[in-house]
Amino acid sequence: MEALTRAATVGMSREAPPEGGLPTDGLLAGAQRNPERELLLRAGMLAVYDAAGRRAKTGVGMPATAPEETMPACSARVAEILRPLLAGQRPEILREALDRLHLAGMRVPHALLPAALGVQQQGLRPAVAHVLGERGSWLAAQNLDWEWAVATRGSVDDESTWEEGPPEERIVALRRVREREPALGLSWVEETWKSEKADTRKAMVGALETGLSSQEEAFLERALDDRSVRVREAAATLLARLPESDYAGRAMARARTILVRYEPPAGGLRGVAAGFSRRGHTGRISVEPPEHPDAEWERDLPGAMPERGVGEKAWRISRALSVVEPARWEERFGVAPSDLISAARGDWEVPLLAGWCRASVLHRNQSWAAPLWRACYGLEHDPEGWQTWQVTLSMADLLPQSDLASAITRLPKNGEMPSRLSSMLQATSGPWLPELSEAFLEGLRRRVRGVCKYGLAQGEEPWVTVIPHASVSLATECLRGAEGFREILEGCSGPQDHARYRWGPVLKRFDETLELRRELVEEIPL
Amino acid sequence: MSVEGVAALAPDSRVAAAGRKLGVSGSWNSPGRSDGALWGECKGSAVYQVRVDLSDLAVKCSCPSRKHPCKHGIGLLFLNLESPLPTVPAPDWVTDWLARRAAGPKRRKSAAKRGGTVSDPEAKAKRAEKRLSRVAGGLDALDLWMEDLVRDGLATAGTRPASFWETQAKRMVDAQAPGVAARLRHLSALPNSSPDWTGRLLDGLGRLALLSEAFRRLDALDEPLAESVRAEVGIPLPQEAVLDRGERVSDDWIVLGQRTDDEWRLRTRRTWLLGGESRRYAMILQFAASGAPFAEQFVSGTIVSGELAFYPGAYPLRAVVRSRAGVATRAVELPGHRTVEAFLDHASTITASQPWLEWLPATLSGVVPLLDGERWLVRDQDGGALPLSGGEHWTLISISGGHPLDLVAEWEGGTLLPLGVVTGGRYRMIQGHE
Repeated sequence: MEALTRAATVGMSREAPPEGGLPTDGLLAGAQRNPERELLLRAGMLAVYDAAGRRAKTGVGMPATAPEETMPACSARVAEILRPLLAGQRPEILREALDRLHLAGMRVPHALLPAALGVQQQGLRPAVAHVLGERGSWLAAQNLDWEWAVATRGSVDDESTWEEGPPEERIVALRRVREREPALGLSWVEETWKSEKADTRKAMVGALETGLSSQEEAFLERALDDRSVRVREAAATLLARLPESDYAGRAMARARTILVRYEPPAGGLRGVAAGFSRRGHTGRISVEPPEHPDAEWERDLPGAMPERGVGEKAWRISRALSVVEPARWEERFGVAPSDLISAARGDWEVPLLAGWCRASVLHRNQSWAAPLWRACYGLEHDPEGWQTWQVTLSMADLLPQSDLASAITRLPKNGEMPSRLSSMLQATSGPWLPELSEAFLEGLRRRVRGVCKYGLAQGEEPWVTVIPHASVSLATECLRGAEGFREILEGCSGPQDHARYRWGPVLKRFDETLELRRELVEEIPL
Repeated sequence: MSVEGVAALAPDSRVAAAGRKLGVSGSWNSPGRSDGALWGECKGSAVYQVRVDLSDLAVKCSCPSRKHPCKHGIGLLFLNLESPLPTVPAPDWVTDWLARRAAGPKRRKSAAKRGGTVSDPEAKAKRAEKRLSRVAGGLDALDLWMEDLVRDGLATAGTRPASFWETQAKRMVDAQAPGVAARLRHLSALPNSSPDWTGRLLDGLGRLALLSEAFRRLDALDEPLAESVRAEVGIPLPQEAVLDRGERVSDDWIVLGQRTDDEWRLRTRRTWLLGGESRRYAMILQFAASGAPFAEQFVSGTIVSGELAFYPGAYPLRAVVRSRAGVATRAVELPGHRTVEAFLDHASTITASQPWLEWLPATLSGVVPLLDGERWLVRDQDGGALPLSGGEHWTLISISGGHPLDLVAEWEGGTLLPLGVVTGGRYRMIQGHE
């Protein structure tokens, strides 16, 4: 056969096929044909002859069998819901489903395991690993792409991962070691520091956040002189969070030359109690904008450039404040956060608020975040150009959700929502608490009726932008009874066509998502 | 019927999901069933009358949906799956529809008969003669084309544009030999597809040469083989003739699996059946414009009772449904070959009688799927193994967990393309390329 194929491949004009020697040649006797035809027929008969004589492959060993499952599989309906989710649609719902399966002590059915092991988002993998069952580990061990599922379940040798693994896995291993033995983790970093690339050095500094203590101060101070600005930024961020560090002292000393004095309100105690709401009854902070930055400034506050449209001085005020733990100001001036915040009114209000917002995020200071949010939410002039609002948004998860709930409850009669509230809700990660969830659902009902009655809002509809995020963040407890939003719209007498057009698909999708989540909750009983 | 089975009837996954949602008793007014049908009124933005003929799973609904079957029909099947509907007398709108359906095929048939009496048998014979000579002319041209190809060398085929094959395929269509055109289109995928592609291409061309040779000597062949050759070239018997004169077999037919090819704006579906009593394999071939539904519905893993009429041939495999009766039930057992060798013996007997069959159904009992180095295989208890085609088969391996399962596949002459498995009395479809 090979000789036939060779002749046919290079072309019979160059190589003649063998004369005979094929078991099927006898069948061709008789008619006169040209050589090409002869070759084709010989090949055809040989192909059929081969096909009819095909034998089984032998010498293949039996694979090891998978161990018995210890967990029950989820229902067929859940499997049906999971299939498209595993293919990459709606990661938030997938996470909810996986977590719930894990809580319920269930696993995904065998037919879904390749899809589950093929989940692309790294962040979902720990949740997937919990619901793979015995068959999942057995299967993962056969495919190198699925090694992560084997690794997270068995005991891993972090040290060899650190020494030989790919960059992301090295950092994961480093963080794990930092949880157990912070000093060992630091020593790993110090050993290889000089030979690592800038990106890796930055990630390594970032990993020191796990188990961070004053033990790392000396190392981080040295990292402030690193060649790469991103490494310096990462080091500065961590140093600022060490309250006893020399860096924190320098930061406070620098900031004190800017926030010089606090003067209590003229009206005495009554004015203080009235809080920030009324001009004239608040205290006053004297601000001295910093002069040209010196070498220490450049070293301690690397990177970050002023945003477009932000003045040099204003930028430096907010930058200097951003690394100081806000609680230090309470100690320094002996006043509550809300009083200091209301005292910020004046020429430098926006940079002060922005700096404090950054600082409360950095130090995860909740008692500052709430009044800061209220102040920024109520800022009279447009904060967008300053991007103060963007900074405020980063505080979302520090805020008490009851604040957001009451902001929704206080919306006007037509239910219209300011875009600042909608962007804050979008930045608030799920699952939301029941209080906020209920307020949102009630507010949405009010808004849909409002649209029917009063028509659409001018421009963008802030509700519409936050609805997709809300649909996956609402508390599980509040899903029951949260249905039929589209019907409210359809049932209203005479909403205008463009209101229907704008809101109809959004509400339909909202209803569908809640329905899907309700079904998951019902199908996976805890 | 299983949840997946019902979902597979839906034209797309959205309809399946919507139908699933409707499969709760709250959505329905007075649903019911009889031996042959399901019905109910579905409450939506309007009330729709939905009915399903259980003998062939045909769905009729009064809704205006362009998708067929619509979500209401799928919903009714889901509802019946959840808890069987009460057996009650059918309302008029159901019995009327069933009666109309029962009358339908006969009407068509009598129309065909009328057509037959009108046309002049002499003219008909002349037309058939003319077609045969057109096909013969087309095959002559094909032979020259193939001879040129081997003279210049198959290696040159690796650098040819797609039009090189497509032009030739279109010529075959024009010569009224669509079967040959389809073979050419399959061959056009071979160049550079694997290291041994020239060998595989020569195989395919060789078989084509055998086919054209056989066509030229039709008169010398036994009638069944001559029928096979005509069918392979693309001159099949008209369906009416098969229904009237084809060999009829009544049985409980297990729906083994389906394969749908979507190419050239035409969807082709092969449904493989196996008679529980007769142990005969059958293939129902259906065509539909892409997007349109297939006329006849089969759910893999169920049993359809009915009578088939087979197209004549050296190994009659292709068939049409003459009548379907009774309710589609679930198959729990799959009769199959216990060893790979036994299956290969069976396959070579068929190859010996009809060498041009491109696909054969394969049912193998108690085989273990495995990955051996880079090869995907199934292995029987004696150690005999066959390679699988169609990419990766992790789902198959995961379902098996190293334990034996019953496999349904298409035998492509050297490899098996898995279509479904049965484990623990449950049928599961296997979609390719997983």
